[in-house]
Amino acid sequence: MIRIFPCYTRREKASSIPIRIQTIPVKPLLLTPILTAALLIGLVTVSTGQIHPVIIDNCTKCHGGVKQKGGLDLRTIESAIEGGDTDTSLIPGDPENSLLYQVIQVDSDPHMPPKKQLPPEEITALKTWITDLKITPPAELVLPDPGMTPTKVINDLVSKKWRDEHIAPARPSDDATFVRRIHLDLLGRIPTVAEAQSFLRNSDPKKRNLLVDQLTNSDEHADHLAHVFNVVFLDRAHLRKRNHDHRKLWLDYLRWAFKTNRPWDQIGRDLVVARPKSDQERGASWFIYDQLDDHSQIATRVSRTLLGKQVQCAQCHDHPVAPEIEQRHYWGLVAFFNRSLNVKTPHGPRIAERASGGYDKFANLEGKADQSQLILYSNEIIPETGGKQTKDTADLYSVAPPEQWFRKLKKDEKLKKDLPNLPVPKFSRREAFARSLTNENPDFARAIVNRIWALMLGRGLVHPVDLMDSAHPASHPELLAWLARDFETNGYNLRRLIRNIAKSKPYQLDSRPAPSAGQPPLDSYFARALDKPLSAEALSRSLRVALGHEKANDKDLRNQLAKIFPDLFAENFSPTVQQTMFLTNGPFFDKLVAESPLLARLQTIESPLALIHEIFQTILSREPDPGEIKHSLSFLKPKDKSSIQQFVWALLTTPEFRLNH
Amino acid sequence: MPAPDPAQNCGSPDHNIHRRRFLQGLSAGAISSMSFAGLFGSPAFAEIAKKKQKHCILLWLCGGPSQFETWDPKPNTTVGGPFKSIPTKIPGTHFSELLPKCASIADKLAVVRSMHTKAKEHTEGINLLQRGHAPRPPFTRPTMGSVLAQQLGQLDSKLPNFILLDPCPEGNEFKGFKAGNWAGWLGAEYSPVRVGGEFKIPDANRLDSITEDDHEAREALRKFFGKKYENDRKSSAASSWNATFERVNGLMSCAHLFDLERIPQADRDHYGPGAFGQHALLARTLVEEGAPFVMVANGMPWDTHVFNHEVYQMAVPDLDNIIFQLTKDLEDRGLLDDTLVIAMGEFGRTPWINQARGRDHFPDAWSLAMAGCGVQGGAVVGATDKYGAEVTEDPFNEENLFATIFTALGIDPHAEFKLDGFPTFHHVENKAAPIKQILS
Repeated sequence: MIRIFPCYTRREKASSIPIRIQTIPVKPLLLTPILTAALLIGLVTVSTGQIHPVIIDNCTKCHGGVKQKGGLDLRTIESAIEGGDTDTSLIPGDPENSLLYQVIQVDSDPHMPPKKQLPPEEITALKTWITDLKITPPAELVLPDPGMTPTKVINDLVSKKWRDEHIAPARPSDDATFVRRIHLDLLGRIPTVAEAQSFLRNSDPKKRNLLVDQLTNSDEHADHLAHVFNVVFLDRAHLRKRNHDHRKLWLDYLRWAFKTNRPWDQIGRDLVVARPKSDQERGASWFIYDQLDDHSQIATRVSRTLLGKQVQCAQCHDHPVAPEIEQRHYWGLVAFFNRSLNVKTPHGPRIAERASGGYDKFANLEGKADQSQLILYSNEIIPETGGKQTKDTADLYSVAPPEQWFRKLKKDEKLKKDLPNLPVPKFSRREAFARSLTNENPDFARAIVNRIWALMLGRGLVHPVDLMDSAHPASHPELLAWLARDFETNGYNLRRLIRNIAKSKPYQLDSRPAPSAGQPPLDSYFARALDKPLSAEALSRSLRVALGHEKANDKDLRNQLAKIFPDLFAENFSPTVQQTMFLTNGPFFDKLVAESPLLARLQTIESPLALIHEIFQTILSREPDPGEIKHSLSFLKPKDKSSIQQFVWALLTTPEFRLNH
Repeated sequence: MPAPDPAQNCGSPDHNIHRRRFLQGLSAGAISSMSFAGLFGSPAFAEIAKKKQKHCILLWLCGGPSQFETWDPKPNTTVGGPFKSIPTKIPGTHFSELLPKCASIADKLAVVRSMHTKAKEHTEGINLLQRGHAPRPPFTRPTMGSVLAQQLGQLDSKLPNFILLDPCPEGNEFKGFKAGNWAGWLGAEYSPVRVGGEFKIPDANRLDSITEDDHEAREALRKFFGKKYENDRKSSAASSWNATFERVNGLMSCAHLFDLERIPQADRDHYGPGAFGQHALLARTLVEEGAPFVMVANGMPWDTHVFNHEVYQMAVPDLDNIIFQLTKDLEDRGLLDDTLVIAMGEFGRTPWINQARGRDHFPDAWSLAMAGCGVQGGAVVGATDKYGAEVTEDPFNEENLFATIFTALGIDPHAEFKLDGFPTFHHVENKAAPIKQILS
C-alpha cells in the first residue's frame, strides 16, 4: 500500500500534561494598537495556555498546520490574536468584537465553519472562554543560581516537585543495588562478583562518588557510550540495512571522542562539517557518508539526534500540533546539506560540498510554492557569503574540485567521485550549520542533556527524547533549562554532566516505591528509580560477564541480540513473544548457557548453599533472601549439570536480570 | 523423561520426582493464581461456558476509512467523488460501487452510518475507538480486545485470548499505539499476542536437549523469581516481561495453527494475495480453533490525504471481498451466529476533497459495518445529510458502539471492573445505550 504521509505526530490531551509552560515569541504584526502596546510594555511573549478544544476540533483543519486559509492559524492563542490577512481574530475579554466569535453565529456572513452550525452550547463555551481569557505575563522560568553544582540543583528541583505534589520518594538504594546500576549505566554491563564485593567491603563514605569518577574515566565507559551513540546516530533499522566496511573507523572515532571527553559541541561539529583535521576524527564523516547522499535523511537525522526534534512531517506541511516547526524549517535543514556529495579520496570516504546550487522549491498542500533558505528553528536566516550562487566555478572554492565538475557531462559520462583531494567551498553551508549549533541555539544543549538524563534515569525530562517540541513539555522545565545552560557554560562537558547526574539523589533512589506512596507515582516525578531495560549491547556484555567469560565484548552475540532486542530509548517497554520464545526455545541461547565457563565452574561446588549464593551473586549481583534460598534448595542439586543449567536459565530470564533497576 | 545421561546426573529416579514435587509445591503456594478448578460446580461456570462460545474478529481499518467510498455514498454531489452507488439486497439501501460483494449480502450486514465522535487525530482516535472512552490519566483503560480476552477467554485455552495479526509493523501513529499499553488496568496478561511480519512463529518447538518436565519446572522457578520482583517493586516493566513469558507454553502448543501453509490453497485463493486478506483468513481459522478475539490490522493504509480515489480503488474491493468471504465461510461453518465481525477504523474522512485529491480526517459523521453474533442483518442505522457533513438521524458515539459490541457478545456493558484501589470504572461508562436497532 502507498505510504503517503511521513507524519509522526502525537497529540496529548491537555489534561494528560501535568504542567504546561510554553513561551513562544509573538511577532508583533497585525495586532491591534492596544494589544501591541500591552505586549511591548516589557512583555515579549504572552503565556499561552491552550486554545479552546472547540476551536481545535472545528477550525484548525483549515486554519492550522496543514492549511492556513486567509493566513489565519488557530492552533495557539497567540496566532489567533495575531490574526490572518484581514485582522486579529481574537480579542481576549471581548467576544463580541472577536472575529472568531462573530463568524460562528447563526446567520453570520461570512459564516464558519462552512456548511455547518456549531451547537449553542459550544458557542456559549467559546464566549465564556474568550470573556475569561487574559493576557498574562509569560510564566518566566525562575532558574537557580548558575554558580550551584548540578547535583544540588537536580536534588533541589526534583524534590521540590515531590513536596509540591505530595509525593513520597522511594528510600535511597542500598550498595548492592547501586553497584549493579552504576556499572550498567556507565559501562553497559553488570559488575563482576569481585567488583561488587570490593565496593561492598569499602567503608569509605564517599565510595559512591569515587566509583562514579573511576568508571567514567575508563575505556569501557567510552566503549559503552560509543555503542549507545552509534545506535542513536544511525539507529538499528538503518544499521541493519548497511554493509559496514567503514564502521570500525566510525566506532573508533566515537570511542576516542568519549575517551578524551571531547566537548559535545566539537562532536556535533565533527559530525556535520565532516572535514576531519586529524586521524582520530576520520570516522566522524561516516555519519553523513552513510546516508548515501540522501539529503532529506541527513536533515531529519541531524534534527532528531542533535536537536531532539522530529521534522519529517514538515516535509509536506507545517507541523500539525507543534506550530513552531514549519515546513520552511524542514527545507532549510535540507538546504544545509543538499550541496553535499559522497566522494572517495586517498584518505578514505569523504563528503565534498559544492559551492553553488541547492535552492529547492517546495509547495504546501494548497500548492503555494516557496523557496528554501538557510533557516534555523530559531527563524534566523543564515546569509550566504557572496549571495546566491547558481553557477559553479573554481574561484568559489578554497580547495577546488577537478575540472570535470564544472562542465556539462557528456552522454553516458559519469561524475568522477574518486578524487585526489576533498573539494571545499569558500562558503560552506555545513560549516554555517555547525556554527549555528552553538550560537544562541538552546535546542542543541537541551537535546543532549535530555538524552543523557534519559540514559541515566530511564526517561527524559522531555519524553520521548526525540520529540522536544511545544506539544511535549518538560516534566521539570527549570531543571532542563538550568542543566542546559550549565552544560553550555561549562564547555559542553559530557563527563561532568554524567557524573553529576549519577551523584544526584533521584538517580540513587531505590526502585521500590515508598510504602506510603500507594499506587506508584507517575514516572515523570522520578520519585523512584525507573526500570531500564538493558539494550542489546548491555544485555550481551552482561550475559558474558554473568556466564564467566573474561571478555565482556562479543560481536556475534551482540549482533544476534540486536535483532531480537532492538530498542534503545523506547517510548514504552514492550517485550514480544519473539523474545521470550528466543530465550526459551532458541538453540542459540541454550548453547550460550550450556557451554559457558560459569556452568563448568558451578558444577565443582559441593555445598548447596554455597552454590545458591554463588549463582545469585554472579547473575543478580546480590545475596538471595531466605525465601529464595528455600525455593532454590528444592530445585538445585549440586554437581547436577541439568538442574544447575535450568536454575541459571531461570535467573537470567527474570525481569531482575532483564532490567536495570 | 528420556533416560538420564549418567555423565550428567546421578541417574536416580528420585531426581525426576524431585522436579515434579517442586512444581506441586509451587502451585499450592503463592503463585497458584492460574488455578481455575474453583470455577467448576459453581453457578458462575454455566455463565462462563455460555460466553466462551462467542468470538469476535475486528478488521481494524487503521487510518480512518472513507464512508463515501464504502457504506454511505453520496453520488452526484460535490463531495461524492468519482464512484457511483449501487443497489444492495436491501431495497432502498445503496453502497458504493466498490462494494459489490457486500451489496449482495447486505441482508447479513448491519451498517451504522451515524457514528459521531470527537477525536480527529490518529493517536487520539485510535485510543478512543480501541478503548471506547476518552483518556483519563493516570488510569489507562484496556482496549476492546483486552476486555474481550478477559470476558470471553478461557483460563486454560491453548490459543491466546487476544491475537493481533499485524503483518505490517509500520503505521505512523498506529505504530506508536502498538508499542503502548493495550491492556491498561487489566494487566499485561490481557495484552495481545502479536503475530506479524512472518506468517510463522519462530522458536516454537521445545529444544531436544530439555525434557518436558524440566521445561516446566524451570519456567515455574522463573515465574517465582519474576513475580517476586514484580510485586516487590510494583514494576509494570516486570509485569509485561512476565506476562510475555506466560504466553510461551500456550503458543508452543498452538504455533502450528498460525502457519498459513497448512490452509488449503483454494481457501487461500479466495481471500486474495494481500496480507490483509491472508490474515483475515488466518483469523477465521483461529476462531474455528476457539480463539475468542482476533484483531486483523495492516499498517495504516486508509489514511488517504493524497489521491483518495486512486488508493480506494485498490483497497476497497479487497475489503469487499474479505468481508464477503469471512461472512460466507463463518456461516458455512455454523460459526456466524456466535462470531461478531466488525469492520471499522478510528474515524471517517471529510466530505470535501483537498487540493491533493485526498480526504482528511473526519470524526463528525462516519460509518462502520458489522455482521454475525445476533446482529440484525440488513439493518442500516442512522443517516447523514446530503453532503455527509452531519449526522441527521440517530447519532452514536464510541460508548454506544462499545455497548453494542459487548451486548452482542453477551457481556454486560454496564458492569463494573473489579479493581482494588481504583475509582469505579465500567465496561462502558455513562450507562451508554447500545444501538438497539442492530441488536436482534
